[in-house]
Amino acid sequence: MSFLRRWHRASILACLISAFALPTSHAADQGPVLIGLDADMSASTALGGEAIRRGAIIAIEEINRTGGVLGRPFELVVRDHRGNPDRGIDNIAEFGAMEELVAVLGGVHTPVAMAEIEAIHEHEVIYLGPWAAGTFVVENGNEPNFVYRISVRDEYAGEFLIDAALARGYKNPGLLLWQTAWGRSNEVAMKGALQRRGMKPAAIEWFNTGTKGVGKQLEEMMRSSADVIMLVAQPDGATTVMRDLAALPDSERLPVIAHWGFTGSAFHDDAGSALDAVDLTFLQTFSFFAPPFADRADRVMKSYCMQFDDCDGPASIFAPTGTAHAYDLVHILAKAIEAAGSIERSAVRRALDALKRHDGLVRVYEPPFTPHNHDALGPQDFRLATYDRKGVIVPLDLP
Amino acid sequence: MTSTAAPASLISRTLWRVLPAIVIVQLVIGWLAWTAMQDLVSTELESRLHRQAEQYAALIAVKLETVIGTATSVAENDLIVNGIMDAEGRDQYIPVFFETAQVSGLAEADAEITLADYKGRRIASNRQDVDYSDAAWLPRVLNGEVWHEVRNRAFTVAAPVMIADQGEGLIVIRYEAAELARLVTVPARADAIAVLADASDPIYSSNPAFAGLSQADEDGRPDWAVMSAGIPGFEELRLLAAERRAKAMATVDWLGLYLGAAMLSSIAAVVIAIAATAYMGTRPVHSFIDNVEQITRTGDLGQTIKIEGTREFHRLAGAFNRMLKSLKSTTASRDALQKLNAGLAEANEALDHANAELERSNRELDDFAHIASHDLKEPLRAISNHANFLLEDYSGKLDEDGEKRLNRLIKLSHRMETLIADLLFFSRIRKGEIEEESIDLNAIIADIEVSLADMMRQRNARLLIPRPLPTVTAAGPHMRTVFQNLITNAIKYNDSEEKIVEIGVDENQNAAAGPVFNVCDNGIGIEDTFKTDIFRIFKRLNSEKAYGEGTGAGLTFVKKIIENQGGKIWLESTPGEGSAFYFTLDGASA
Repeated sequence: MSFLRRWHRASILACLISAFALPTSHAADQGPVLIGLDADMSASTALGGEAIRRGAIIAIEEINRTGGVLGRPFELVVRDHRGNPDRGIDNIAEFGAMEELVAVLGGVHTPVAMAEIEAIHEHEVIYLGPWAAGTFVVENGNEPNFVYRISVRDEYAGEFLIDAALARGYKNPGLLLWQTAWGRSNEVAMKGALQRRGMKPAAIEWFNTGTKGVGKQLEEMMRSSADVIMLVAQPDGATTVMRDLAALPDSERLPVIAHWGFTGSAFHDDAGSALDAVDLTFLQTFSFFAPPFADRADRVMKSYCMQFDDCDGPASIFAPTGTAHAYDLVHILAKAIEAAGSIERSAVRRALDALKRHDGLVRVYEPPFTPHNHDALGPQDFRLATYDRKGVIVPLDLP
Repeated sequence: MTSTAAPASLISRTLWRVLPAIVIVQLVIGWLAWTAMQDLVSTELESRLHRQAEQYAALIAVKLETVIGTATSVAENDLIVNGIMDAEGRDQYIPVFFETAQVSGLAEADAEITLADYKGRRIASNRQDVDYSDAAWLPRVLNGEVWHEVRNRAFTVAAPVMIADQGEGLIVIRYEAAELARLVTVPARADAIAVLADASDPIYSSNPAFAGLSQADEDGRPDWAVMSAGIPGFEELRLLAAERRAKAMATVDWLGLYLGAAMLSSIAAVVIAIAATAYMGTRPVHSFIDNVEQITRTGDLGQTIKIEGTREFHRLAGAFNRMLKSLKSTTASRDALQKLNAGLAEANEALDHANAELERSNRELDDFAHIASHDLKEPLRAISNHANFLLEDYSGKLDEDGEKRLNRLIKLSHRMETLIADLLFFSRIRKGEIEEESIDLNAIIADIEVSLADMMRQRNARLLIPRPLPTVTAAGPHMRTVFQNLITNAIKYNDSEEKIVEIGVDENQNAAAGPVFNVCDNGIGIEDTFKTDIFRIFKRLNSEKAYGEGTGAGLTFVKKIIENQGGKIWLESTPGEGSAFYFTLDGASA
């Protein structure tokens, strides 16, 4: 797998860079400060995990180049949960046992993050989520709450997607949801959004991981007179939906406004020609094509292209949201560590809650987090995007 | 020592000769059939058990494969796959999924079904306290292999839940001993079915009486016939099908009884058939015998044998009746036959008496001839001697006439002796007196010619034999006497300058009677009136002065010898030209 090879090379390179960048101090003798990455690195959303890893690497490289944190370099430790919550839980336990580990970057997707909540808090591992939108990932009821997120929050996504549907003139959205915590989170969000608008979903249909077809669900959509499908799906599910939709006659082929769950994968290649037949738009938070801060985006782009051989411009950044979110999270973590003066997790957690500002790639975080709000992004950070003919994610409102 | 017991009847003799062989053959056939039946039944039993074992094994394999298929299907079910991903919500639906009929058959079988995570830890199960973390097969299953084993009397199937080409969890279905026994239970026609795993106790046995099995029992036990078959796809399992030998062989036992009864019936049938056949065969024989005995008693050839019975007896009786008829028609009656036999007997008796008289007469004649010869010769010899004495003693005292008379007396005495000798010789000429033998007549004549050489030279006589004479069976001395007398007469009574005597044989003249010999000469011949007299004893047709001395008995000897030989002699003669004497030797007539 080319990404893994690149990942290995980048890791080694990062380690070498970090080693040369370290100031000769007592802190350097303590070794690196570990940041864990618990993401799908090999399964259906491996591109998302890789995107996150790349964003973290770029940030770590920048931080280490300036002396690291507390005089110690950052080092990224990667564990592959393959989208399997049980693996994620074990990874968290492993990370939690690492004494020099301060935080764990999460990966795609919400079901894993949700499963890891207990372990996160058992081991008091700071969880930084760049790509898990489930509302209750952050709103997990724990106190203190070790989960922080620069990512979509379904509660907001629901509002945003329903508004997007209504803005496009659709009046009877049907919900087609993945039968997981994430799907259920979006059910609550979208139903809430519709309810606040005095509406109800035309239909709420579910599908399971590994489903071979959603024909019955689409029939139900048609039977319920849905005029748009609000899709919350992982890559395999989204591919199945696209193919089944493309197989329908034009009159029955509903447009799809989707969450972002399939964007960190080979979905575009897998769905293939079906995407030519289906009107698909989906949620994104960041694009290198229209970054809110061009200079920061350019700098990160250059670093990206220096680090990774497959980079030849923004179009080659396959999952920009994951990369950007991870980039910002690592920088924020570094600030928190510096502010805490320690890598002790609780101290760092408190520092995270106390940070005042960070000028990130995605936005200016002012503050990134508060003790009662561990979600750094809001609906204003959301946009719709689509795939161009080459499979590049481009914002819909791209001039 | 000759047995005097009555001979055995046809029935008993046939039975004693045939029955033992039949019994032996029946016993041998019966034993062979019994053995063959046993082998057949045993082979059929083993074949049937083998088929059953294979069928049951296949059936159990299907059942076990169904469980494997169920595990695989469940692992592929999107609800289960989703359950791997949906850690938060799976507890809501996975247990329900396990507990419902969605997992076909498992609820009824009370089998364990477990969804485990990628480390074998229980996610959901209808059992508590299940954990496959230490299962040796876990890595293989997570690599995508559907695995199964029977161990410690439990059947375990593990199928991976594959996500993105890797096992992210697994479905485990497990049948413990009791459930496994129910799973492998099949309706069996055999007396006992047992399923073995490894060398352990049977997982399942349909018959408690067939308990205590081990793989060693696959070779069979005395009381059970056992056949085994591997369960396809499950090398660790073997199925044994067994049947009680006694039950299987019960049929053979009944067949044996039937066979024995059939053999006894067969023997009895043979005995009855032999007896009936013998009776049917001998009844016409007895009737025939009775008829013959009656004919014998009565002598009535007019009776006929009753024609009855088989075709052979019909032929026999018919032939016998024809024989009786032929006897009756071609021979005299019994009385005539008896009279004829009596006459023949009297004639034979008279003939015997006559032969006895003849023999006595011959003996008396021989005695008389011998005595007479001796008695006659004695005085003649005395006369001759006295005459010689007188001549010697008184030769000077007797005148010429007196000497002449004494010489005449001596000569007459000698002549008388010669006549007596010839008479004696004549009396002894009888057939059988001298042993007959095969005689070469050429050799006899050659010998006669030698003995007459001086005479023939003096008289200028020549003996001719145009072709060789045959060999005859006769007395040699008698044949010599015949030819010598005929040759001597032919020379003596011949005035020809060259006296020719020709001896020949004519084969063609009355060939059935044998050859006709001839002695021909060119002598003085014999007139017809004397052709009979010349054969009288002592008869001379010419004086001694004219043609020399002789008693005149020679031709008499020749005639008697020839007639004793069964032949006949005759002559043809022309006075002054010669004579031809013809004779046969075997009763032939000219």
